[in-house]
Amino acid sequence: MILCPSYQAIIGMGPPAIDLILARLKAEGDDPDHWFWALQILTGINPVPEEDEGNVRKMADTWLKWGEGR
Amino acid sequence: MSRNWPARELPQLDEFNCIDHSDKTNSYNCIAWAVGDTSRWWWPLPLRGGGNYWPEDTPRDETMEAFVTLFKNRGYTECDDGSLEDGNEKVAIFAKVNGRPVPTHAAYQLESGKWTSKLGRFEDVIHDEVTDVDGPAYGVPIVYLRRQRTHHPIINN
Repeated sequence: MILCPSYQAIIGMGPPAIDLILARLKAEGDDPDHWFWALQILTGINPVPEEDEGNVRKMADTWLKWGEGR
Repeated sequence: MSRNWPARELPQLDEFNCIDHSDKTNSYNCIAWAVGDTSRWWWPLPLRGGGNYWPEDTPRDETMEAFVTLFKNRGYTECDDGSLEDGNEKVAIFAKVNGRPVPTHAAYQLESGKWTSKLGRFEDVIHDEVTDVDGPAYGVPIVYLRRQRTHHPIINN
């Protein structure tokens, strides 16, 4: 997924894409898509604890909390 | 349940050889499903931070060697084919074969001899033959592994 042109184009939007991705992540609810790589590239950080890697719901929650706390 | 996977990518799956077992979900993928974990998405890349889980006991490489090691570390040994063997369960690792094989998918053999696959971000399904998921998405099965049957922790064999 992360190699597909549309995903790369979103990363290519730069920081303005961050809020759009977070809004999409929130809208996806219990079945969030794999936006985490894009968020890490765009923000330069990774707030997800190592033990939550791969758990999309926990990763989405962590990123949404990160977004609220900015 | 509705079928969301792209038929063009999995042209051999149809209503005669495949039944849905779950709804579409992003929560787990084929590797997670083959090892019996529906809480995480297992894939070696991207590296830490990319959103995928990969166990520390396995090289974090998108290679057949790494994927074989993943299953060997869980008690599997390589075998010749996907035939049903009394007392054993098998997994098949798929790859596209143009050039160096790059892993694309894993399927798990049920006690009935049928196979089950989680289709990326779509549903998991039970299909009659391992080769029913051959095609543009996954290529073909390259490596088979077996171990003493332990029963899949989630799906009813």
